[in-house]
This record gives sequence, structure tokens and C-alpha cells, in this order.
Amino acid sequence: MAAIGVSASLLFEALKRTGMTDIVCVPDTHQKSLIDQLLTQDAISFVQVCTEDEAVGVATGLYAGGRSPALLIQNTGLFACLNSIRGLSLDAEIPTFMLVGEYMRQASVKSVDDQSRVVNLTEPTLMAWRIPFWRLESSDDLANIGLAFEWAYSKKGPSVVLVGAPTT
Amino acid sequence: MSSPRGILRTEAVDLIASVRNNSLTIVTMQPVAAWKAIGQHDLRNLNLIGSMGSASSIGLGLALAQPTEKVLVLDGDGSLVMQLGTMVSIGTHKPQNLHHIVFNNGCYETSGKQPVPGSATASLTEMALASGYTDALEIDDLTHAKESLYNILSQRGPTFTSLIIIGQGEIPRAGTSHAVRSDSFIEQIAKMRASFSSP
Repeated sequence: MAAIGVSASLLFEALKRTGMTDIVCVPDTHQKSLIDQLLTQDAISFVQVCTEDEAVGVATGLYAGGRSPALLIQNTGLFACLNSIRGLSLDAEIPTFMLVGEYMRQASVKSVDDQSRVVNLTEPTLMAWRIPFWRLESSDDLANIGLAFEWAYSKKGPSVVLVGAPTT
Repeated sequence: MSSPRGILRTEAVDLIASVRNNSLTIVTMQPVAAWKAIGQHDLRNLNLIGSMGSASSIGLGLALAQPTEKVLVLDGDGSLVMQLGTMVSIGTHKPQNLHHIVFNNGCYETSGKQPVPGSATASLTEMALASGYTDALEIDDLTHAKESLYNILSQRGPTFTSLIIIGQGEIPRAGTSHAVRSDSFIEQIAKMRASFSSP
């Protein structure tokens, strides 16, 4: 079944329901409308940084300081920060919930069958690293936001929600 | 022939400890042992080993989380340049409570003292000011060092201090005058987080 873009407003409400306090972000093309919404509200603090490695570090500092942060990044950025995920999210057991946009994915094709490596390698990489992931393919999957966030904080480690199509 | 400019790492940690007051601290790589040996690894300190440049970004997060607490990041020059963009992020978010102190020895001691790229040509203090830090200072001898460091840490941040390090010095034997923490980074994080959650 093809991925269908989720409304940024509905996604924002799902994020708020988790109780997350901060979103640390390196902008993602797929989540542009969500980012636009996050920039105009103050329920969740929005912290934009230069790289995804920094994002994992800033989230670690926020967590140490008593906050409950999350990351918003692109699939390319997930690959870029894997060593930081290894050192901080996994080894240091820092809860790291990540909303990851599947940039370059053809929405009508399953990710593992996509012709683009940045798409078809994402799930196998997460499985190899034993990082649990959920999908956001349509608004029917919004409950996965809460499940993945709760997993990260209860198990103290990384979790990912893969955003299959651009938010609307 | 003039003597090389710089101070010993042990002198540097003593200097910072003398003006730390009750600041939160994050220490990475080479200063960790010396900082711990003088009793500074308390419940308001995080020791970070092998984080590949994350000290400054963790410090930024901690400063944003606790804006009424002063946060000192004791960084290495090699560590800093691994995630140099964090200076731009710090300059963008401008946490007034963040003070970034770099132990600048020009080399990667852990892996065999290879020179840090740019150590002879790139000015970290100029980069800090260009990134948006409010002030930057270089300290290469102990004359007036305590007064200078105290003054910059009293300013509205984020500030940047580069300590020119020319050697280790003799680290006091651990446990001679104070208890020594031996908890893991996981435990340190948990305890620091819990301290902010307690009523």
C-alpha cells in the first residue's frame, strides 16, 4: 500500500500527547510542513542545530537536565549520526526518539524495494543495529508516535518512526 | 630563546576549580583524570570519554534545559573540531549560562600526539566570536589568569576560553583528600537528571 502524507496538524497533536518537551532538528524535506508548524508554536521547544551528531548530543544534554527531548531528522542524517547513536543512545542509554523522513522514497513502493540506497538500506541498518522502528505511512499510524516515544523512554535507548511520505 | 607559551593541564584544572563555584560541568578526554583527582567529579559533573566531539553539544543541551544554572564545558581542541558546527549552534541559541573552555594542546594525545588540524593556523577564539559567542579569551600563562577567567565566567554567555596547554603536570594520587566517584556515565546521567526532578 502506498504511503500517504500525514497532516502536520495531526502529527503535531500526536507529538504533544507524548509529553515530549523539545524537538532537536536538522531540517528534513519530508517534514517541512511539520517544521513550519513547530516554528510557530511554543508547546514544544524547537532547537535547530547544524548536524545530526550535534542533535544527539544536544538531546543528551537536555535529557541530563531533566527534559524529555526527541529528534526530527532525515534518513540521510540518520546514517550521518550512527556513531553518536552508538555512543550516546545505545552505550549511554539515552532515550532517543527519532522522527526520520524517508527522503527520496517513491511513496508507492515499499522502502526495502526502493531503488534509492538511502531508502532501501534504512530498515536493514536499523535491524542490524537492533534499533526498533515503526512506520508512519498514513494517519492510521499516528498511534505509533506514542508507542515509539514510550519505548525510547522506558527502555532508555533509540527508537525510530519512519515518515514514509511528505507531511501535508 | 623564549620559553613555550602555555600552562600545565594540572594548573588549568586548578584554575577552573578555583572559580567554578557550584557550576555544572562537563569534562571530556585529557582533563578528566586531573579534574577527578582534585575532587571535582561530583554530582554536578559529567565525565565524557570517547564521545567524538559531543562535549559542546551536550553542554548546549544542558544549558538550555537548566537556564538558571551556570554550565562549564571543559573541552579539548581535537574534540571540538570533530563537531565544529556546534560553535555555530551555540552562537545561534546564545545560552547566557554556557561557558566553553577548551584545553588547547594542539595534538591528539590519546592516539600518539598527532597535530590537530588547524592547530597552527586556525584561531578557535576568532571562530568563537565569529560564531556569535559574547566574548573569547586566550590564557597562556598564570599571571592574572584567575582574575581573567573569573571575569569572563561572570559575563553573560556564551563565552569561550582557550587554555594553551604545554604538558600534563603531576596528577595528585586519587583518594588522598576526598572520596572518588567511580560510577559509569550512565549512572552519572541518571543521577544528574534525578537531581533536577527532585522536589
